[in-house]
Amino acid sequence: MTQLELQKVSKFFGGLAAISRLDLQVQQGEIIGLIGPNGAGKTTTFNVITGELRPNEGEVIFEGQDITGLRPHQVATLGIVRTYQLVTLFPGYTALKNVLVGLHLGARIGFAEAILNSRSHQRKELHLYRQAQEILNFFNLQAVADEPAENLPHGLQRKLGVAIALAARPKMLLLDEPLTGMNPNEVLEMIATIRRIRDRNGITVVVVEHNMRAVMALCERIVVINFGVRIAEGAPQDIQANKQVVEAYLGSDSHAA
Amino acid sequence: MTRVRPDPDRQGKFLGEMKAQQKSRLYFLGLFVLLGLVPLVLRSEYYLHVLIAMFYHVIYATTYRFILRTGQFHFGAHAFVGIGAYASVLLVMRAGWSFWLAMPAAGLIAAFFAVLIGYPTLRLKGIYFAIITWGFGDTLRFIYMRFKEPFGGPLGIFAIPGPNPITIPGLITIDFSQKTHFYFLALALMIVTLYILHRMEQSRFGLIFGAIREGDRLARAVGINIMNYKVLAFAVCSGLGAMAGSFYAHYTYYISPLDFSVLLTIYLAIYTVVGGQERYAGVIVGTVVLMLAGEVFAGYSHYQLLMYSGFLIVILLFLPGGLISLPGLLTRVGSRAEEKEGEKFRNDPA
Repeated sequence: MTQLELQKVSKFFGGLAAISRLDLQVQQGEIIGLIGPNGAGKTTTFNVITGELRPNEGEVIFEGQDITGLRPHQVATLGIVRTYQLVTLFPGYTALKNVLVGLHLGARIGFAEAILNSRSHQRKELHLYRQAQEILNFFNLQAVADEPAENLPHGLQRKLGVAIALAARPKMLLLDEPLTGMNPNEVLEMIATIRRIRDRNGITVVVVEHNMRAVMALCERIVVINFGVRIAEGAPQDIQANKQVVEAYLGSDSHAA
Repeated sequence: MTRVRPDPDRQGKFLGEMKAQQKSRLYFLGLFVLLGLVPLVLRSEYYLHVLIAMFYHVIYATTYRFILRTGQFHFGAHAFVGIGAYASVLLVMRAGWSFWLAMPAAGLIAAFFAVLIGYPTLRLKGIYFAIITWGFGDTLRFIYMRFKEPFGGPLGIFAIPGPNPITIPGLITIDFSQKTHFYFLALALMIVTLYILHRMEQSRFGLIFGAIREGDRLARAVGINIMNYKVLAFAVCSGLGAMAGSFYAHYTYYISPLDFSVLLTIYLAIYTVVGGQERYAGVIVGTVVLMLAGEVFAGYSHYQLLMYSGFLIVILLFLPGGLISLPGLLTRVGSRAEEKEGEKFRNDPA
């Protein structure tokens, strides 16, 4: 079942088309990779889907609903949650509090009960706390729960970023370069974690990533874009053999002497 | 990779904080009782008046600081205090309402104005938001001055009735003929306001306000409607400040447009910076210390603002964290001195 569909979406920055008439289908429950050289328009695609940028033309359809032009928090409410290319956390908050903020959409706490701190409110807070701990455990972050996020090493910050996104109980996760700056061991662990997120909760995952080995290992389907246009689509092995893709990354033969 | 089962007995820092929160109501009750004993000891009307003024200024200042803490450079606290005062006075004197209804109604009216002003302007940052809110306050002031009917014009409104008497049959009658009665009303208002602000900061709402300050993009990405939260804080704080403004009107029996000029907000900003805005207690300390200093220099009222400015400059130069950071600083200096002492000992050749 097609869960997310981009129909001829374009986004211009001045005269420059960051993406132009891009079509993209994402199936429910798949792990799909979005790759392409620097400046190909991958992050812009994410920004258009999540409502941080409004496309100049085209439509974004999520689960049959036109979400083009919705505000970011509304898109998140519908079930699309993203992470960012640069580590984006609540730096002064502990890891636990970061995840607690991520649980926002599941927290049904009214203003009056929070002020009065009633028993039922305390139970709700405790319940949220247990959920947050469970998510930290899932990412193996329980040991640093009370550590301020800004003090964590880079690899753990990356994990925490995904943990926050997962806390928002998405139907679809958009991960923007989740493996950047990780050592090979951490990469393997993160790949396993992303797979578990999908397998356990049935969450669709869209990954933008430059680490090709990891993309080939992780994704079931890959879409290649260059200069804002889709140039190839298929299973990892097909993409590796695709001449156009090789050209996009390495340049074509004609320039060779 | 094996999953680690959550250990139910593991006492995280957060759980400890939650437990402590359940006791906080007792502390506020204790503070109320403690300050409630003061009139038994202190018989002087003058001192009671100073304390009453301090109480409603603490309400102004703490609500003002809360808005600052949501990342908005608010400069129109005087607008909402003024709305509260004028609204409640008009409701009592023109519509014949009881003070006890008019005061919360004044709070709601101010909160309504805050929502109205907040939605279009709270997306502005820094000086732009300051200019808009300041402009709003001064526009209101000109409206009060321009329209003698019903605002009383430049001379303001006088002969405002005090709060309606409360009688508990067979026990006591509180008719607000004595300062003590006002003292308890102001104290109750202050304690309730402080408790509400305290809960707002410590509960999930405080967590979200802080998250918006720490990273608004990420907050939006996990589904937080930032604008709603900012408007909520703005409206609640403005409403509470307006209720204190209503108290002020019925306590002093007289209000004029001059009471609600930008000078009020400037004072609040000075209290906040001098006391230290990082912590909740800081702004209270700032208000109390500066208002006491103001009373000491009361004979030289022309120089009061000069003295406040001097205070402000000294604090900014030598104590950027405000007065509230002083104890922490002193203990650190103390421990450093101890370390030095220890070094001397180690370096002793014997």
